[in-house]
Amino acid sequence: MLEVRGLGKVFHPGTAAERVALRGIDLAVAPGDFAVVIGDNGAGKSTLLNAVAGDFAVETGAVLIDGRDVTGLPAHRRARWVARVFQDPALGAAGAMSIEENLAVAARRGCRRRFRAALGREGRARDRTLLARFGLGLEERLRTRVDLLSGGQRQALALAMAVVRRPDVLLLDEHTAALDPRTAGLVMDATVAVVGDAGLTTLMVTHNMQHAIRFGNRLLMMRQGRIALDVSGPAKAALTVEGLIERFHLADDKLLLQA
Amino acid sequence: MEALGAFVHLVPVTLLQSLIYAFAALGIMIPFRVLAFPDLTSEGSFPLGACVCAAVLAAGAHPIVATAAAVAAGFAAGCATALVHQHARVNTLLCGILVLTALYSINIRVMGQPNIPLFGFANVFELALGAGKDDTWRRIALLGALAACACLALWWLLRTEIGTAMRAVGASLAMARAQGVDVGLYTLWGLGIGNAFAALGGSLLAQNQGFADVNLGFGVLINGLAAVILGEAIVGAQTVARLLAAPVVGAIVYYQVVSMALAFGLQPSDLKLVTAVFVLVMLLLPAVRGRSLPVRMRE
Repeated sequence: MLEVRGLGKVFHPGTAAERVALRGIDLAVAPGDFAVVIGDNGAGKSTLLNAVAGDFAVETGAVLIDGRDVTGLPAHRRARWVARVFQDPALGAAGAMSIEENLAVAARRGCRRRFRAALGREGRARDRTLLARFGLGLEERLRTRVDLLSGGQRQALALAMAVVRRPDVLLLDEHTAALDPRTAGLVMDATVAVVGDAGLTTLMVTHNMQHAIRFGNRLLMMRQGRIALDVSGPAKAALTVEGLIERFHLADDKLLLQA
Repeated sequence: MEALGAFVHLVPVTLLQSLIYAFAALGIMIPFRVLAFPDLTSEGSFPLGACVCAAVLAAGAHPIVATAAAVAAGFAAGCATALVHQHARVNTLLCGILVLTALYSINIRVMGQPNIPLFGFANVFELALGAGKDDTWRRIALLGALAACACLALWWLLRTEIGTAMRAVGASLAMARAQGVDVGLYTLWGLGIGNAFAALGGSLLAQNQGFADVNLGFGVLINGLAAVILGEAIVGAQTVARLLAAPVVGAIVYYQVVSMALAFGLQPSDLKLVTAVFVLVMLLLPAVRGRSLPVRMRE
């Protein structure tokens, strides 16, 4: 359960570059909900995700995870409950380390790290099972350095790292945007599989309208720092790309092009 | 042939010296390579180790106590750099320069004078080697064993859950934070450990040569960096074991090469220029070949 109350964020306050990114966002994402967030560039989608993750302090409002107020906690402490996959494949996993080392770091997210060997037979078995689900053959390459992987493979690994320890909230920030359409489809299928199986509470930002229509059980559209549309259940299922564009006069060329 | 003879004659002495500097090179490798934090503090923590060790020895303490005090002081110096970086938001290079500059004054304060002679005081070599304490090869064996132990301990550490998280901090800050790693805390420990090794090198140098001087660390950072880069060119840096072997192998080779160059007529005063050019060339080579720079930096 993720709850956001009256969240407000201003970048560069008091300067010429001042920009209000979030204007009092109220949002409750129920356990197991897969909410997709769309909106123009600058609508505040990524800011919302980063505020939930704890990348910066917010001006107003609170973030609650399972009723726990985490507003004052830095990102590394929120990681105990919040897992994320970034848009940039270079960020999610450490290139200079092997696949299994990255997963070993992720497997202790939110736990006390110990003076105990990070790699072992149990971990390897867990990694193989987890990675096999992505169908990219990563389970046979546990000792491969991550900087030798393709963007799609890196995003699949980042996703595996996010779910290797079950998070209370999963944040996906345009995690397929940097990939070619075919790979983006593969990573998206893998996402749906792991999120669905585990019933993870998920917030996914996307620019891909078809993904927004097809995936998730709830759709949030943001505009100028507010949630302009919030549909779920059957109403969400009935949405079409054309309908969305017509109804909300989406001005963003990027959205139109990808639709 | 005369020059070659002079060089060969100096091989054991140079080897002994290089094993001492190997600890400094290890201490430089940890922040630079494991944490991607270009830490210059060792230029101050190396003489700090020598000065603290000398002051504690001169006060009549046991050599182990004096060496441990030096290591603790080096750890504190590294922590100081990390804290300046995190709390004052000062650039990584600048906070190292701030701390090493401050350490110059602190080192003189610690000793009460710019240098302390240690002849007549017990030292770790006497403790471990007894009557054989003045034999160069025995000292080499002792330091070699010590360096091997240090590498083994670090090899174990860097492969634990804690050590792997520390490497993640250097490999990707974003990934480390997202996986719940407290970047500030791990940087603090990493810089502390690195400078503890540099100070250990300084304390061993003071005990080996029988005196401590506030100026004895001059150039240790760039020599150590040269050793790390040279070592990586020889043994590589793809695994934790290679990462740790590189500073030691590099230091041994580097000081023999320097000794040979001096034997063949290089002016000692030109050595810093030659070293700086060498480090620069080694840093630029990968860029010329279109690869990324070997010194990764944060920010």
